[in-house]
Amino acid sequence: MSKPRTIKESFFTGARTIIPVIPGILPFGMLTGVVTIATGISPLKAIFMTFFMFAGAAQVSVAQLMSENASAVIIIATAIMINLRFVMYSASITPYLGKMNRLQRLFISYTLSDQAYAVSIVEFTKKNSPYQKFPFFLGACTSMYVTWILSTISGIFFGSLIPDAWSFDFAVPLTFLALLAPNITDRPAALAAVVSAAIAILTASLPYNMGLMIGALSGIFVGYVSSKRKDTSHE
Amino acid sequence: MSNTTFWLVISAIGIATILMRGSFILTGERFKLSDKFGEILRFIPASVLAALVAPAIFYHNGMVEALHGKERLLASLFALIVAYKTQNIFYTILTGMGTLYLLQYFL
Repeated sequence: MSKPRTIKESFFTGARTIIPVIPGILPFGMLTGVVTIATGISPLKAIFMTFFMFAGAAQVSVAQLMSENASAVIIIATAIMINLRFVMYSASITPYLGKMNRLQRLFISYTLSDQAYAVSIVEFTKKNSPYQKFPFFLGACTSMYVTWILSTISGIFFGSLIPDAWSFDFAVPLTFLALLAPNITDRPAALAAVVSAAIAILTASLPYNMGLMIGALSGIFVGYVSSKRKDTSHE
Repeated sequence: MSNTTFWLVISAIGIATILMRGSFILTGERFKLSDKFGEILRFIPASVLAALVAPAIFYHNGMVEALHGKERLLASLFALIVAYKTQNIFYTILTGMGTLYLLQYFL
């Protein structure tokens, strides 16, 4: 077994584990900035969004809904649904982190991200990991946070330079398609997406973008039911 | 959306997101997540993203008359295939934008 590492070594190793995923984060962060501007939100507001939300898919969704004049309730509900996955990460990672003071808890609760969770849980579930878990996680969260903020702000800057004639607003739905694809992991998930899309199209004329919620909830319901059915048929 | 509403909406989302991220971190494992809840959560991203994107693409009216203004629908189908095959956000955008430009130029 390798010797236990210091707090400092654990922090910097955690921070470095983000480096291999940067090629995926950088374009997405920049794109988030660019498409937020493409929906007509001012650069100052876009920067505020990135600091306050720190969540790509939710940031793009909110920008899209604002451009459609959706109601405040629908926008908040959509962002919450998209970010609900963080509850799962929070539940999964907390048992590894041990004692933290209030400031540390608050900082982690602000900077927890898909990528920081993914790289850390891999390390924590290894047998004989020599690293101290809280500093390692703090390192991963911090470096991911810095990468995201810098890439979205540069995207916001570039976004305001792109002329309207380039039809770059089309990059918004394309970003959603790119985010959607990795979530189609099996048949029930594919079914959920298809049902959700079809119902959202059929109910699009309802006021306050209610069609979005009706479509999404139908998709979740059908996906869940069909996954249960598959489970029982295998037993 | 008025300025006041914007700041209120973003602040509400920001606070809600911190509470979700902190749900277990802040409370220190006093609660347990049920398996059923996890099973339902799994379908949220696919459903919400599909419901967000489908009407925006389906009802968009473009300029290519040969396709009845539905060039974005066609470009999106190609982009979706590339998204699924490559799982790469950059190639997806490139395919979608590229197809759109070609359709607008040649049709």
